[in-house]
Amino acid sequence: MSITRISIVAAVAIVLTCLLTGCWSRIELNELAITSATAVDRKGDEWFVSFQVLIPSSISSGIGITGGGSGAPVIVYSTKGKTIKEANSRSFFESPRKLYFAHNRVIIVSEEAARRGLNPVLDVYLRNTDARETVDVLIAPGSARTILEQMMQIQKISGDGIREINHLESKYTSILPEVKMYQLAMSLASDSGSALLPEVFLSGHSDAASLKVFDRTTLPAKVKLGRLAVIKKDKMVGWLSRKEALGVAFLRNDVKKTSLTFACPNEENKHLTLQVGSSSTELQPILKGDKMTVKAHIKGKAVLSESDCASMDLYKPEIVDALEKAAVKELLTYTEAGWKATQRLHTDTLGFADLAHRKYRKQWRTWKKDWDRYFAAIKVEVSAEITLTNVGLSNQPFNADALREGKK
Amino acid sequence: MNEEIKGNHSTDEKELKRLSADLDQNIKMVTDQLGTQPDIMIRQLHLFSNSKAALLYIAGMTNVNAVNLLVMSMISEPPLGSSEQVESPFDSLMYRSLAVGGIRKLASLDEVLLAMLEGNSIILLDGFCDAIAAFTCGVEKRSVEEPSTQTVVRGPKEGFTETLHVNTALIRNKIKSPNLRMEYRIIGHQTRTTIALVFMKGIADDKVIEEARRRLDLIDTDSILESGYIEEFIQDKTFTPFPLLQNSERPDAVAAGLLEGQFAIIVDGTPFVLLAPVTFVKFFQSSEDYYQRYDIATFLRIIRFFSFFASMLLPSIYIAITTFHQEMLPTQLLISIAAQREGVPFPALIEAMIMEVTFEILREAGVRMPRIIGPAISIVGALVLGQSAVQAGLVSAAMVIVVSFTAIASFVIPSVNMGTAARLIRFLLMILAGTFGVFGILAGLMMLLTHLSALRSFGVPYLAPIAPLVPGSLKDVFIRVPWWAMKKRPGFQKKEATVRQGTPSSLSETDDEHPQEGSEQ
Repeated sequence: MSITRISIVAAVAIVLTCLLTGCWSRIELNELAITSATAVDRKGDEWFVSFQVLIPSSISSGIGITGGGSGAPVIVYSTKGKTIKEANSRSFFESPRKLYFAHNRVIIVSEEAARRGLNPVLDVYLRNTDARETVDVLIAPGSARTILEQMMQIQKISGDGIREINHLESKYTSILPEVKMYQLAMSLASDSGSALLPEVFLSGHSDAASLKVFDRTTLPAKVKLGRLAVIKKDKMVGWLSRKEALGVAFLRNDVKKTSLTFACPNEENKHLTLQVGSSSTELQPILKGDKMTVKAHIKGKAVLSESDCASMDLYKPEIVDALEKAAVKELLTYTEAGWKATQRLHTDTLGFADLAHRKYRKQWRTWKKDWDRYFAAIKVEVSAEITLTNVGLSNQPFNADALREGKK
Repeated sequence: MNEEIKGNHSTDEKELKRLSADLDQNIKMVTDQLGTQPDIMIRQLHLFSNSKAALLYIAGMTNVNAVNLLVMSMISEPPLGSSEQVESPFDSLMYRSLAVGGIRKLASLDEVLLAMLEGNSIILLDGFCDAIAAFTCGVEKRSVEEPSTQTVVRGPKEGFTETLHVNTALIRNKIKSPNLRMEYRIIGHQTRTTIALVFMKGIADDKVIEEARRRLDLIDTDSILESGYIEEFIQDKTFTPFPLLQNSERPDAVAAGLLEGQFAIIVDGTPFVLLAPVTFVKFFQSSEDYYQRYDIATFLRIIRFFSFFASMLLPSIYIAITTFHQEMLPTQLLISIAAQREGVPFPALIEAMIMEVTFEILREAGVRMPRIIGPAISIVGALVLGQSAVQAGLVSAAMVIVVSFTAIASFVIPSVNMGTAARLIRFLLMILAGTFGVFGILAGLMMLLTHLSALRSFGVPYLAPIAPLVPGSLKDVFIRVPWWAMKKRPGFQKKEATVRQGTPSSLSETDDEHPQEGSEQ
């Protein structure tokens, strides 16, 4: 190729490339309405979708940022439509910027919407590329939009804050799981056809929807995590209390770290706390005749983190044994509560259907037609084993009186 | 000057104008050719044998002391006993009495003129058709100083100068081997610039040297004022942003190149010596890499490669991500950048272009301006264009950071011409990023890779030893292994000279008794 031809081709290519500028999917940052949280409500036949949109200049402050640091960090607005996407597209009537969902952190579904079915929500998230399936899903009793309107302490963006709360809670207490959109879809599509979603609710007497709440050191209303919602075949069927939720978490092998507080073995009205880390659960289905029994064995390692008990020498193995036994006893009350709640809601939140399908494939063909009935007949035998690995830096519970007398 | 000087445009075919036997006519012939200029000195004198003679030289081109000594030796008595021998005054001068190192016998006028213009003194004798050229060259020259472009923290502080012979001596001083060969050529009809082709016989590939000779002989121009002229004449491909010849101001770097099998071209009048053949990775090797500990050298080399890609890609990646792929940013960063962009009126591409062009202008101004107004430019550049542009809302602070980092990263590359390549490509990639996003950047990089792998420098693939992969040569590419592990040369050398450690006599063809020097590098 001659030099002139190369240069002509190069020049034409560059010119044509420049002509393409502005086409395709180019969008500048100041044309985006970055959504940090979405709420889905249902009123009548219509979907009410609310968006918590970030106002970047109110969140960041610095050189060259106009209006930095003043004003509310987010703005919330709602649109309605017969489908979620219709509601989304109506946002163009009122928003100067294009809604952008890639940084959406949480989607909050109202209890009513959840009870009427989550399929449309899942469809929107799985069908479209701009919405990410890694968004956390939570259920709000009452209006979901109200949650988005609340200011949060420390975190300026409450959508991000809710996700952080959910994440840390699931990491350190494991009572409520952090459920992402794809996990929800996966568990609803599994044999058991059920899922668990954490509840987010507004506690307090009034709401904290204005910047004025930051004038005081306590917020009049707080966004908190509460109970655990049980979803069965895309519809919400009921709530589990925190105790039941922890039991279910143990049975589902979802516990990463949690704490157990129970009465001292030698003193009924005083308590001690064990920090349970790295717990694992093995489920073993056993078929006896027509009935299935699931044997659950929970193994956990615990650290004594607080003890208010009367004098007990933790150097003695029998004392430690007693502690471990008490912990197991306590743990079994949780799992029992969890199992009873599961039975009460007729929902296989523990994933027994998948266990049964894997182990008894032939029988599964008949069971799956009427799984709810079989599930109701399942018996669960829970055993647990907790090893106390560490009692902390001290041995005897701290007792000022005893220590003073010992000196005399 | 012991080596033979080869004029590439041989005057053999031309009708040579012979000198005559008449002194006055000879002087007239010279003055006719050169004109009567004040710096052309003609000293007429009588020798002891009463024969007339003339000394011709150009003032300023010659060393005054050497000329004085020459005059002295011409007019003084011949040594005792010499009169017994029957010897012509010419032979007596030529072989006996002249107190000067280099003597040549010249027959034609052209030779006389050239010798004068090179700074030799010409002795004409009445009654003889030949002239004597005495080597009295001595132009005022810069002394050996620390190189200004390729500075090191540890390593020799000497740099090449504008004088060819000083430069060859600096190399000879590094490599005391009989195999170090220098071939001289004179290129440029008007400038008659002396050029030395330097290589290690027995290490450099003979075919490459032959090709270098051929390309140098093909140069047909009136002037060579800097090695850049030579570089453009002999490089393999013109239409590429990448340098196909390396240049260095450092004798140690050139010596190291020669010992790896490269050849060097020294051009009289410039301290920048060319080295070829060269590969892409050579431009990321600093001579200091070999003087520092290998682990530090490896770290620095990785930093350099990173900086090269940063200086080439960072603005385009920023443009692509902020205008096409916002989902790739962490949320907090996105909010921060979005906040800064709130008041900026331009699209990210235009914003980046403004800043990059501004920086290029600043850089060029910094190089060209008189030293004395340097601080003024710094203040204007740093304050007005940096901070004030952000405060005025013309550009975002993030963009200033990106452009600044890019600018600093481009200075990390030891070789200035490779840094310039990255600068040019950066603009192209920015346009691609602004139109197609990351897709455009990758398309551009693919084209770049294709181009790079098609390049050759004197037949050596530019991307060697990565493509084609030569695993043995990777010891000195992304990492620098300790010296004892680099037993082989990295790939420019001829096949027989692959091993450089453990075979002390392999270099020397004459098998002489030269004492083994320590490690040369």
